[in-house]
Amino acid sequence: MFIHTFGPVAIQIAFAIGMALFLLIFTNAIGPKKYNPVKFDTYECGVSYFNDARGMFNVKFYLIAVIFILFDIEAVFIIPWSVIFMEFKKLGLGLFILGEMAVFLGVLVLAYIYIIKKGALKWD
Amino acid sequence: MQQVMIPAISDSSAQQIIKILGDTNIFYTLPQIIISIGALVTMMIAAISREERGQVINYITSVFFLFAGLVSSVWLASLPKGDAFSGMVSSDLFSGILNIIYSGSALLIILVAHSYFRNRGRYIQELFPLIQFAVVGMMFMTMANNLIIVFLGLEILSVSLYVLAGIDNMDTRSNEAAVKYFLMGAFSSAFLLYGIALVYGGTGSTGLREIAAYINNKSIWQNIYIPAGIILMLIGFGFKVSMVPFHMWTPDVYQGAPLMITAFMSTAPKAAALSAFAKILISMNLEPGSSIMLTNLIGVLAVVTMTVGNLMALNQNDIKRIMAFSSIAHVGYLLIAVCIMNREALAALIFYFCVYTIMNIGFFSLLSLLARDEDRNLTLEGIQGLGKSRPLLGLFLLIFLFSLSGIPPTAGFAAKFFIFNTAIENKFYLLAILGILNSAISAYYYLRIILYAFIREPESGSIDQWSQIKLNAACFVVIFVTAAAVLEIGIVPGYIIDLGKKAIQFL
Repeated sequence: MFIHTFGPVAIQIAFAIGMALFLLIFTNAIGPKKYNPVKFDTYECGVSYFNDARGMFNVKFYLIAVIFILFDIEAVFIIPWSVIFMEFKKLGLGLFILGEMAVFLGVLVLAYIYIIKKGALKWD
Repeated sequence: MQQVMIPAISDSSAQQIIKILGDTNIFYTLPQIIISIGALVTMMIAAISREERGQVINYITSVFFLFAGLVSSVWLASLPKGDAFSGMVSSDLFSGILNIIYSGSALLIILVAHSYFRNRGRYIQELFPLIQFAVVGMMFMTMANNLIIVFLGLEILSVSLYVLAGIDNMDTRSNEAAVKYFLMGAFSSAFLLYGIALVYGGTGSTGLREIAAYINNKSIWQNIYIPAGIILMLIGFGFKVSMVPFHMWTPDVYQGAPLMITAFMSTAPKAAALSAFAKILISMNLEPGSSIMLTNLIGVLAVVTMTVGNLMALNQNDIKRIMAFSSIAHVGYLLIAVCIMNREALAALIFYFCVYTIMNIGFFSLLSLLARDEDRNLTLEGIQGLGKSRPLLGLFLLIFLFSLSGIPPTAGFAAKFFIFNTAIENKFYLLAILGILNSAISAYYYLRIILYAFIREPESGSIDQWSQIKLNAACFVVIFVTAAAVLEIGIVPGYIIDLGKKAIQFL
């Protein structure tokens, strides 16, 4: 049973490992080796780097990031709602589904008011 | 042109939508709706108002909403069984009784927590919405008919509890408790989710009824994913209810969290997690012969849990730590009932939840009167002289500790008797004997608290700290009501047992 169901997965894993090994071994074996100090710099998308990555962040970054993720995920619920809205309207349930979204957004707005009142978005 | 882009809705799917809306039956989730509204209202009050005045308004509001939730739970429990949200959630007497336990315990906790936090000098309004959200999560866990809803409820509950453990952000121990609890809890959620995924992989559904129809009294070994998934779910729930060997977080978290939060964490959430797990096991329709391995496993875990809990409690000095190990031991007794895995055992489970919640909340409410200095005085030496100085409080202490150790005529005795009796009736003799031996061990550390409170004298020359305690009205009412209930259930346990037996017929 396991071979039957997981066989393709095992082949894929073997292929992935084989590919990685192949690339590592052959580039090391065939490729020319020329030393250049720039080669060993931290890669920064072509821009030369300016300090260590292990710096300290202000803890407020994390708070803002968490709040952003929460509200961002809510948008995921709004998009399918808007896609099927017209179908519900055809069934005569337009007001109902509008009310559902109003309740959902109402709860979100309450959370937003809470965040603002608690000063989570204030930077200073 | 735009209309063409949208796939035209077929008649059958239109009928399906209307059928789903007709099956919603939203009133079966009335307690959750009421308490959610309460949580949102108190959250808004917490955002707008400041310090002490806000705390008082929040206190009154949340007591009102929790009481309304309690009344609606009673009303729902009196209704016949029904499904809501197309069978994702179902309401019956079983979930009704547990909903009453959840909302009732939250109500008692809030009544005491208000004065407790005032004495501690902290005004934390977020306490009230978080407790109410936790209650909503627990209610969904018990009413769930689908593993996804169980997980959803568990997460609503857990996230609230993580924050509640660290709610006193000035106390370093409280913060430490929150971080430890969060890390362990997140870890255990992953186990639970993996277990759900495996059961889904094995049976093709997350609905409890569909799973039962798939297993259909056949061996669970027909498909390796089902037992593997059940065991992973057992581990996930085991973390939440602090089953040994997944109990390591319990003493630190219970000691670090503010006292009334510990009282909340040690009662209703355990009832929620265990009842959800027992409901999953029983509604899966496992064939008795094939689940012997599972029965043995849970049985061994029950014995290990109560033995480790009781033995570790013997040498503790901090009362909150003693209560942490005591709650581990009580989970061991409860696991005996889960292990028997039939409906009478579920009745014993419901009865034990009732009794354990009442006596634990009563005992913690009593401690909340004595606590000061961020609970650091709640040690065995710290309560010396209580019995002499305040005989009434000493009497209540006696009642609750007798009940916790299971001495008649208290409710704790009736609850343990019922569980061990069910074990013997179902021929689990060894479990019953080990359980009884364990309650004998547990008497040592409960009675040691009494020994310190009544017999040991405080050092001569020290001032009598207990004479300054002011009895807060709400707190005293809670202590009085729970003590009276402990005695009353201990003397006449019949009607709650009957209610429990009636509840499981409808499951």
